[in-house]
Order: sequence, then C-alpha cells, then structure tokens
Amino acid sequence: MYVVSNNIKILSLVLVVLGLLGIGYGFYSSPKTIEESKEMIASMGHDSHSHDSHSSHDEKSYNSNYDGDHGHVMSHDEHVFHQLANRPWAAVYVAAFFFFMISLGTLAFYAIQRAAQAGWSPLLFRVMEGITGYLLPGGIFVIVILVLSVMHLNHLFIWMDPEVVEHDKIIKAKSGYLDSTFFLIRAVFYLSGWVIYRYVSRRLSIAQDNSKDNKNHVKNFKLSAAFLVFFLVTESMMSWDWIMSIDPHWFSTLFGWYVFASMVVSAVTTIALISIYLKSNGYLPNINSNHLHDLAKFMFGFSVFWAYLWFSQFMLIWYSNIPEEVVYFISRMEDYPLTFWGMVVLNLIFPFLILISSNFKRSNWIIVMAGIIILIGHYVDVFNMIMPSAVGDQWFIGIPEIGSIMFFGGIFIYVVFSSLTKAPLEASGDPFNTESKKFVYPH
Amino acid sequence: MGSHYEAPIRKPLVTGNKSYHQITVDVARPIEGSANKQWWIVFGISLTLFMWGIGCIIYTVSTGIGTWGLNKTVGWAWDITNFVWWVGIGHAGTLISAVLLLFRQKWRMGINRSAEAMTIFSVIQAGLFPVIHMGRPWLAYWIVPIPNTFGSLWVNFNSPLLWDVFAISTYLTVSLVFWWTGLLPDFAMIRDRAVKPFQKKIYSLVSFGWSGRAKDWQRFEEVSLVLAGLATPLVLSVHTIVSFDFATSVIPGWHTTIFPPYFVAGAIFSGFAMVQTLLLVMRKVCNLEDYITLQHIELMNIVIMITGSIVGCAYITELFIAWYSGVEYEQYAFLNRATGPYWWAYWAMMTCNVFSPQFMWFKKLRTSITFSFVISIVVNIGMWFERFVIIVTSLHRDYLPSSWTMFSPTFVDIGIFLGTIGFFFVLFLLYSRTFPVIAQAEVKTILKSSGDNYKQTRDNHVK
Amino acid sequence: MLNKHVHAIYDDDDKLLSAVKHLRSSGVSIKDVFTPFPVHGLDHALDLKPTRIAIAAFIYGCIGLTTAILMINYIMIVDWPQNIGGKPSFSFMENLPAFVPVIFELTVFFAGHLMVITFYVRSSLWPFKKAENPIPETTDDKFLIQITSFKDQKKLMSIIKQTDYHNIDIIEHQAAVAESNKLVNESSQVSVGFVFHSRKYSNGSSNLRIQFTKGRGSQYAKNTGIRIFRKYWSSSKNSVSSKHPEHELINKKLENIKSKIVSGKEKFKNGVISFEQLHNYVLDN
Repeated sequence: MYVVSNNIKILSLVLVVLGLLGIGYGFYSSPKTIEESKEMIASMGHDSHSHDSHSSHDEKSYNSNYDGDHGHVMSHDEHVFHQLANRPWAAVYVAAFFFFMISLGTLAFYAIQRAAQAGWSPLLFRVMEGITGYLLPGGIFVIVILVLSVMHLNHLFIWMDPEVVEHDKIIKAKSGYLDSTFFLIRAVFYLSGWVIYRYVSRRLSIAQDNSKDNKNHVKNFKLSAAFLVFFLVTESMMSWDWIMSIDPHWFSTLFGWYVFASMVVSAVTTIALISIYLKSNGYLPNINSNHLHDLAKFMFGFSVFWAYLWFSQFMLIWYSNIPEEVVYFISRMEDYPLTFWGMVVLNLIFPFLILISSNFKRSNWIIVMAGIIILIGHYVDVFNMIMPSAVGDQWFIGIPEIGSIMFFGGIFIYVVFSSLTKAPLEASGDPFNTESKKFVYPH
Repeated sequence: MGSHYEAPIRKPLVTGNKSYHQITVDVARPIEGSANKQWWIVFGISLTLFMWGIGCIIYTVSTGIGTWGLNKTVGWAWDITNFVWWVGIGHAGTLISAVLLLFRQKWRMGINRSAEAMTIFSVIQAGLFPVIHMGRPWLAYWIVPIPNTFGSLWVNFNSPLLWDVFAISTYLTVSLVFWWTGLLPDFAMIRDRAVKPFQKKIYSLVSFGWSGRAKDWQRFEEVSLVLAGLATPLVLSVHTIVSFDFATSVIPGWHTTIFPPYFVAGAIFSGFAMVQTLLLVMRKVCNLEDYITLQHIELMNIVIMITGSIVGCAYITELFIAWYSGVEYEQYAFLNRATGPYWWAYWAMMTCNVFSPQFMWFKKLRTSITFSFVISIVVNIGMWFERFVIIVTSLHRDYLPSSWTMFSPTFVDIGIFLGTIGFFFVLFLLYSRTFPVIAQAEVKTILKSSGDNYKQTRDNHVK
Repeated sequence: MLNKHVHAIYDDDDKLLSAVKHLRSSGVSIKDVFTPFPVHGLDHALDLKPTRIAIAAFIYGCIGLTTAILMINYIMIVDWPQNIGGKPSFSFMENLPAFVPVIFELTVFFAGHLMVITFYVRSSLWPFKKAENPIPETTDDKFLIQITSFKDQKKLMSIIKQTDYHNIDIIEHQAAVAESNKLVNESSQVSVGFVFHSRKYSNGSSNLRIQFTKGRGSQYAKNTGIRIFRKYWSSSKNSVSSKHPEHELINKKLENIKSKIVSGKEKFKNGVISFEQLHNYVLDN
C-alpha cells in the first residue's frame, strides 16, 4: 500500500502557499478602475512584446470581441481595463482547467483500456485511478470559476454580460445556448456524469481484487463502454462551453476533438511520470521498462495525433481565409507568436524526435524530460486557447500565471497521491493481471 | 512457455484443435483445389459488370464528360462520391494491418491478409475516377511534377487535388509493398508444397526465394513494425487529404474543420463493413471458420459500432455548430440536406450510419452471422449516401440561388460505378483462389497462445 | 575433403529454442536456423545483432523530407511563383501550411520504399531468386538447425541427441545448392501425413486420406477408407476424438495404418520399396 511521503506533503504545501501568494498578487496588482488601468498602460510605456502596429492590433482584437458595426460603444480604455482585470482570472482559469483536463483525460484513457480489454496496462490501473481522484475537486474548482464569472466578477465570458449581448446580433442569436443558467446546469451535468463513472468504476475495480469470479470486471467493462459514449458527447460540449465560447463569434467543428487530444497526451504523460516516481521509490515492483515503453509510445503517438488535429484546424482556416474564422488565428499569430509557434515545437518537434527511438522510450530520465516538455507544451496550448480572447495583447507569463500553476499543481499532487493510498497499488484481481505481469515488448 | 501466455478470459482465436501443419493445409487448400460452381457464378456476374463498366468508360473517354449527369452547378457527383467511397473502404485494410499490429491485437492475424487485399483492390477502383473524370485522361501525366517544354509549367502544390495525387500514389504503393512483403513467407509455403511444375514456377517467382532464415525473420518483423508505424499516419493522412478536397473550400457544408478525423473515422467504418461482407462469405466458402471465428466477427462489429458512433457524433457536431455559428448559409445548407429535394438521401445516410450500428450494442446481434452481413451492406450503402449528400447537396444549392439546380445520374454514371464493383469482385475472387488468404505464418505464431487446444491445456494446468 | 552438413530438425518452436540454447552452450557453431514463422527469443538465443533497418528508414525519411522541401520550393517559389488565392507567393514559409501534405507524403514514400528495398537487398530476396531452405517442411511445421562446420561428428550427434529432436539429416554437401537439392530428393526424405479430402459428402463428412510427400517434387494422396466429420479429427494426435461413437474402432484401424507407415518409411529408406509403391504397402489390408 502506498503511503504519502513527507516530501510530497511538503512539496504540495509549499506549492499551494506560494501559488496563493502569486494569485493574490495577481489580483491585487490588477486594476480596479479604468483610471488605474490607464495609469498602468502609461507606466508600461507601450510595452515590450507588442508590435509597432500596436494600435491596429487593438482594432483587430477589439473587433474580434465586438462586431465592428454593431457598436457597443466601449472605449478603448474600458476594453483594455477589462483585459487587464481579466488577467488574474484567466491565469487561474487556465491553470485550473489544465490540471482538471489531465484528470479527465486519464479517466478517458482508463475507460478505453477497460473497454478494449488491454492486457499490458492493468498493472497501471491503480495509478490511473489515483489521478482521477482529482476529477471531483478539480471540476469543482473550474465550476466555481464559472459561477463567479456568471456573477460578473470578471469578463472572461463576454456573452455573460447582458450589455454586450444587447448590442451584438451574433451572440444574441445563440443566447439560447449561451445562457448563464443553462450553461451552469450543463457544467454540473457533465461533471456529475464523469464523477459517477469514476466512483462506480473504482468501486468495481477494488471489489474485483477480493472476488472469486469476474463479475465485477465484466460490469466494469460494460460500464466503461457506455461511459465512452457519454464522454464522447459531453467532452465536446464541455470544450465548446468552457473554452470555445470565450470567443463567442468564432467556431470550429473540430474543437472538441482537438481539446480531447491535448487532454489525453497530458494524461498519458502524467501516468508515466507518476509511475516512474513510484517505481523509483520502491513501489510498483511488477512495472518494468516494457510498460514504460508502451506509455512512451502513447506519448509519442498522441503527440503526433494532437499535432495532426492542430494542423487540420489551423490549415483549413488559414487556407480558406474566411474573415470571421481567420481572425482567431490572426490574434494568436500576431500577439502571441512565441507561445503559438513555441507550442508546436514543444508538442510536436521535441516529442517526435526524442521519443521516436525505441531505446529512448525505455529510459526513465528521457521519459521524464520529454514528459515535462509535453506538459509545459500543453499548458501553453490551453493558455493559447483562453488568453488571447480574455486578455488580448496584455499577456505575459508572470507571477499570476505561475502562481496559478503552482497552486493547482500543489493541490493536484496532494489529491492524487492521497488517492493512491486508498487502495492497493496493484489491481490483483484483474483477470488480465498475469498478462500485464508477463508483458514483454519487443519479444 | 512464458511468451505464449494469454489470459483465460480471452476467447480462442484459432479453433478446431489445429496443429502447425493443419494450418498449412487449411490455408493451402483453396489454392491447391479448384473453384466450385458458386465461385464461377459470382465471378461471371462480376466479370459482366466489369465489362459493362469498361464499355461505359470507353464511351466517356471517347465522347466526353457530357455523357455523365454533371452540370455547371453540380460539377462533381457520382465520380467523386465513388472515389471517396472506394478510398474510404480501402482504409480498413491498412488499419487492420498497421494499427492493429501496433496495438498488438492478435485477432488481426486471421483477417489482415484479405483486408489488405481489399485495400489494394479498392484503391485501384478509387484511382480510376480522378483519371476518367479529367476530360482529357490522355494528358493525365500532366499531374506529375516533371520538367516540360511549356516553360516549364508545373503542377500546383497549393491544390488539394494535387495533394491527393501524392497521397493516393503513396498509399497504393506502400500498401502494396506492405502486403507483398507479408506474403513472402506464405507464398514460400505454397511453393514448397507445390507439385505441378507451373504452380511451382509461379510461386517460386512471387516468393522471392524466401527461405525463413532467423536473420531474415528478424528483419521481416522489424520491417513490418516500421511499415506499420509509417502506414498508420499514412492512412490517417490519405483520407484527411481527401477531406481537404472539400474542407479547404469556402462552401457551406464543405468548409468545416472536423472533416479530417471525421472522414478517417467514416473510412474505417465503411472499410470494416466491407471486410465483414467479404470475410463472412469467404470463411464459409473456403472452410476457414476456424481462423475467422465468431470472435473475429464480433470484434469487427464492435469496431463498426465505435466508428459509426464517432461519425454520428460528428454529424451532430456539424448540425449544432451550424446553428451556433449563426452563419445563415451554413444553417441553410443543413436545413436543405434534411428537408430539401435530396432529403431521402440524407435520411438514408442517417438511418444506415447512425442508427443501424447501434444494434451492435446487443451481444446477440453482434454475434449473429446473418445480422452482421446485413449491417455490413447497410453501412456501405449509408456511407455512399454520406459522400453523395456532402458533395451534391452542398453544390446544388450554395451561395447563388439563381444557380440552384438538380442533378440526376445517367446510365453511364451508374454503369461505371457498377463496373468498379464488378472489377473489385473479379480481383478479389481471383485473389481468393491464388493467394494464401490467411497470413498463415502469423497465425502459427499465435497458435500456442490463442489456439483453443493450447488454451484449454494451459487453463486446466493452472487449475 | 567432403563437406558435411548436419541438419537437426524439430517439430516445435519451444523445443527448437531450448535446442539452440543447448547447442550453443555446448560450443556448437550454428550456421543458420530455418523456421516457418518468427520464433520469439530466437535472435537473442543465436546472438544475432539487432537490425538497423529502422534507423535506415528514419534516414530515408529525412531524405524524402529534404527532397520534398527543395522540390516544392523550387517549383512554387523560385521557378514559377503564382498568385494563388492571394497567398504570398515569394515566401516558402508563409505558404508552408499548404505544402505540408505533400511534404509528409513524400517523407513516408521515401522512408517506406527505400527501407523495403534495403530489406530485400540485405536478405537477398528478389523475383527468380532460388529458395535456400534445406527441406520444404520448414515453411510448413518443421524447424531446422543447420550446422556446417564441426570437427567431431560423433560428438555433435551426441549433443544433438540430448535435445528433443524430430529428425537428424546428414547431407554430403559437395558443390552448389542444386546439388544439395538432388541429394535431398534422393535422401530418405519422405513424409506421410493424414489429410482430408476437400470435397464434402452431402451429410458433411469427408474422406480421410494419407498424403505421401517426397522432397519437394513429388506428392500424392490415397483414401484410407475412413470417412468421418472433420470435427472429430485431432490433427495433433492423428486420431479420432472420443466424441465419435465409433472412435475405438476407427482408432484401432488407424494404429494399424500408423505402424505400417513407420515400417513403410523404413523400407523406403532402405530401398526395399519405391516411393510409388509406398501406399500399396501402407494400405494393403
């Protein structure tokens, strides 16, 4: 049985405390009135990372949020004020979502392993179940932020602002769906469904350890298959609700599956990192470099798959150059070139080159290094999806952002490792356990 | 016996208490024997359809595309529908060979040879359409980037139609090579059993002198893995590039970012359905039920169900986002699909693709041979309609109402399509009597882990 | 000096693997091993160097990538740039998204095809190449260890006999492969097995036949007179399963036939009867 080491406890505590400080600083230093924001901009003096064509940017990013000729007459200053005020909120939201998505991605990967009757991974099931222990708390964090947004404490989702909707024909037309109450009900619905599956599946998995027959396993198999259908639909809807609607004028049919790819890469990477950690501390004796090799193969494969979906979405919008669609990427390429292109390097080039070699896939430290790069890369992915619309060109990766990562990261580590203590680390009753133990690759 | 272990809960993949020798004999039998009456009847029908198709093609090439039902508004119809349909079907073979190899799914061994053959033959059919729809197919060599005397006039690398040329060529040749390399040990088996001198000569030729040395097997396995690793992104890229033919445009119903993975899922969906159709018949006729077991059929049905659900999810996503986008042209495109003059095609597509695979949730139905056969045909009909709906309904009523018109196929459109079906079956029937239709060397590697006799002994031993 | 080849033949992959390990640890130098399918662990047991063909494929892929980029750049940007859809026509990087599909396909094309060609060249595989497996059964169900250099034949034989072998052949290898084929044909290489006739009677049963195979050239089969349903036949034991109501009777007949087969093979080996007469001997009641 796993026991949370003191190092982990101290680490998570430190991260949470430092994170809170960072977040607090972010909120404290963000402007509370338009005058304050004007002062901030003046003192920054048309700052470092915006281009020369700063003013035209403003027009573009201004227009991306507000339909040009349906003048909600918001002054430039007010707009910038909202952006700056959004920044700590966005920082918290990005980090909260990122860690939540790791958990959700792990749940999906776990369900796929069960539904596919995989023989190599059962020894890793308890690690996956541990990571999904963060699903409920992580989900609650996200929903709390959504509720606070609905209560108008921030301008993350501009469609929640009735003033804006009143003057915006496009958003008004979809206000049946982009309606705060319905939005929250949906959020609770998604999270409930996912959490119920996690709870029941975990219960069946633990019960199977002590049972004489395969009934629990078979129930879990059927449940996982049904869950995947529920997940397929709700994951897409969640990504439209929680991320795509931040740009309420924009749309992409691929969006749901694109976010899923990001989710599942991050999940597999986290499973690998935690497994390596546990193994290096003497746990998981039956896990060996064969299992690691398979995890690394998934890290490689899903990274390439993510890049394929990223490219599909990007290229198709770039190619046909339709104004209402392409403005999404224009703001990202012009205001966020470092994170936008950097993300492709972190999420495709690095993992591809490092993880293509079979030998490298069996090496602990290479997997850890590649894993860290992948996780950073997918954080940047979520950053790129949310920041440009919430914060525009007033972005930076600074104290609020890093503080948020630390805060949610600390909680994530603590919750996950605590979950690992709740059940034996080896799913001894799983009928595929022996296959998992004997698993050798390549032969 | 460590490496031969398999969990008792898994169903056997080779039944009938086979030995290595018995596998050899069973797989060699259809080649060493002669065709029966049923084979000749089906072959005759297929050949007739094929000949009719050739006639229609000759008529088209000599007279012009005007023999088809196309018009200015609807510039693509049956030609491209058929092209995408055939390419899509081909994807299952590569998926079974490559992706299921990477996922170490042992059940692929009994079916991959025939699935790959199906891929080759489908892609051949697919490749006909871009050529014959050219108008001047004798100038087809103009699609290749070779220097010429016109200045040099090059091909346009910005065009998805050219991307298709590279994609389909790569796909056809790499699949062919993957298939043939895998066939070498099996051809060698036939060669070494062959008695008649002509058979001996032919199989010696096609087996490339394969001798089964340990070093050769080592390379063979590595090559198979690398080809599988290459073929997986290849198969994804090919149908993605085919989807780019539509998605790179600005037409509502065509320009949508979900097309790449949605087309790939749809391709796997229809491909598996076609494999199912072919194998359900072949296993009976060639007495291979011990190698293509009910477990194989059930697993293929599950894949059909999964990919069908993904396709269904994509349909719903498109509908929702069309509304959500607020773009009136997009909204009309979908309204027209469901309620306009081609509503019957749309609803056929929905019924066949979304509703019918859901029956596979029921164990009784997904293990029923008859039901599996019926669904496999239904799915392919549905997938044909899906491409027809995408292409024709989006074209016949796009941005300019004064251009709105209808499309009807001529007998030539229909004849060429039937001809490709005939050609496909001609090739497959010939294949089934001359090629080893089961990857027997691969099946032998899983005999000890998944053969019913070995499993029983091992499970009894454990108890 | 006559060059002898010793072939140790096995009928099971696990037996082969332990034999290879035993022979090698006893200092026998193995020239080659012929198997009908890849035996896992064999390359390790033979100490074969890992193959570098995957690395070759990666390099070929890089060549394809470079070729594609240079080709497209020349064609679209350098030689004849055109205004297509308003995309900036003098910049490769700004058009890169449109070029990615072809670049990807050519990378895969080069990697795949050049790797396979390398494989064929390295393993000497091409149309019209003559097969070199010493006995045809190595593509069926037999596993053959080929030993060509040894000092003490007696010692070698005793080492081999410590393993679970099916058969041992000693070939006098004088010249080319063609020669060894002739020797193989003339050697005591006859195999006899039970098979079913492909045709089924109206009730579904088939005739059980005996198939006689000599070397690679000759093969024929004769009916045993026993007609049963295939499902009752156990090919691993060459007998009828106890599920068949008359299994005792039939198996007794089969025992008879089987012993005739064994003695028939002996007689053929010793030259008493010819291959063509073998079936008469075996089935003569």
